[in-house]
Amino acid sequence: MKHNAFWYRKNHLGVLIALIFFGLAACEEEADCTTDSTNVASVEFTKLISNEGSNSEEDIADDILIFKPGNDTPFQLTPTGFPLDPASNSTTLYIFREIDNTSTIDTIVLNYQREQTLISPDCGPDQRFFGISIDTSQTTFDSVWVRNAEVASVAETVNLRIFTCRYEMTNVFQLRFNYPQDEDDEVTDTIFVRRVYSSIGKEDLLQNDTIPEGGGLTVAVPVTMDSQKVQVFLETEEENSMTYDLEAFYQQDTFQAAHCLAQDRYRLDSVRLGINPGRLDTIAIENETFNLNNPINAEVTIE
Amino acid sequence: MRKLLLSNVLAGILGLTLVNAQAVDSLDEVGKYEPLALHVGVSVNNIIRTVLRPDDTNYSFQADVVLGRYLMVAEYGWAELSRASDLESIDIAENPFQYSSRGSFFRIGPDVNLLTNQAKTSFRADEDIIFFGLRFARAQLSHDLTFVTRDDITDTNGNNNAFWPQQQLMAQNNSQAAIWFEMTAGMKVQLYRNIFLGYNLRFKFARNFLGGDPSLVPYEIPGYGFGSQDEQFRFDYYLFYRIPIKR
Repeated sequence: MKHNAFWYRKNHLGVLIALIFFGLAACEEEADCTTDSTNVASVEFTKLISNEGSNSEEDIADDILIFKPGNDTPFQLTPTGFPLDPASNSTTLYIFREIDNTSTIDTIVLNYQREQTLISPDCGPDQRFFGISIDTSQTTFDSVWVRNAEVASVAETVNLRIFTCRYEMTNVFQLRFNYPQDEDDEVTDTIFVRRVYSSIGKEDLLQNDTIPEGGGLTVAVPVTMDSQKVQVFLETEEENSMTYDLEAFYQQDTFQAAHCLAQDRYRLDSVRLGINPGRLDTIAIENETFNLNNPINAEVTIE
Repeated sequence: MRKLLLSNVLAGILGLTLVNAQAVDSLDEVGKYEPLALHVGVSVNNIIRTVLRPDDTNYSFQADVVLGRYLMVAEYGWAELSRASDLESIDIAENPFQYSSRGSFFRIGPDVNLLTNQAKTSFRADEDIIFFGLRFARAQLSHDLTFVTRDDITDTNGNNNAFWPQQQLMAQNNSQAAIWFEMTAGMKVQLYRNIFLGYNLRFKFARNFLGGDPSLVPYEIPGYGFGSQDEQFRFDYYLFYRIPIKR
């Protein structure tokens, strides 16, 4: 019995001592110095064309420089990103862009959290940046998208996407007066236009121009959302001064392409001859939407 | 010999009581949850660490009361450590730091003995035991890190800090708490009379920080281990003294 008790205890001690050595080896501090922490938040500037049906990207990239407050030395942004101040939870940067020979300076404020860790005595400390939010109230950007709030050097997605949009919708109604060639008439006639004006706005839309026979004249007629009708007057200088008019009816709503600001959209409903049509004859609608890409919305033929 | 140990372990794990039909479990006589003994112990590895590493001070103690097959365990400890950059390291020399922390911890929870006694008549836990247990743990610490900032923007020569200059910062947290849970298993083996040696293998999980500024992550949480890791495996070795209450 005593023999059994001895071996019973000795076995337990053997297992215990073996595990002590195993455990001592396992408790060594192991240093893994790899870190993907960085203070540079990756950023992607995207220029969009805001138009009905799509918001396609523009190929042209702006030259972008960034400055920090109190420092005149610029930093070329491409291809890195916004350097976050490693000593603060907020960074203000001035972004200088050159667009079509025009300079724009935006002030962007990045707010974020920092976390400090001592990786190991051999590796040293590490600082992580995360929880990025952005104040764009002092910028001309159309929108900013925080795609990835954690800053890392090996991130799969960029931290920030900044969108600037070029808007192609307009509030200008393009009206063309056509003066077709009379094949029977051997003499080429010309209409002298003293002015064109509309019921919206006091300024003349056009003054002292001509419409040769077989040619035409396009007039840009601004409209407003306060009204749904614009009356256009064509004042000619013939034997006597004559004024002809037509009425265009339109509707307005709001259109918003993704990542761009909402904008007003005007669409032509109908155009008809006015109270004194005179030589104005037929009217045809070419494009309903008032858009920079639509050179003519409606055509009216002059007899 | 090995068979004897293995059969004991397996019997415990499977919950089988290898009791001889004629033998009587002594727990039946004294009561299943009767206090049989007290153990008080000190962590040996923490003492060794304190002796070998002048930058570290670690002590932890354990006390348990044996209630039949079960033990109710309470542990307490405190720790202080400091770490500074090794100036011989090129990387660290460019990025010097100093870190220090101090704090304490406690753990409470039950253990169950899985080993029958040598006569295979009882699982009473005041002798050699193989145990499994659960712990709730909480640590309180204060710590600080002095470091130099790093800006990853490089100049034309490839040097860092091209946009933001280096600054020395101090991050500190004077009142940070952490809680976690542990699954623990181990042995207690009688060395001589009432002196026992034992180890605990601990799996620590569900670590959460409470209070304080969470921006500074503790390098080590007293009683837990590396603060940046959500889970930890750790060993502890204890020297116990048993105070018998009832045989």
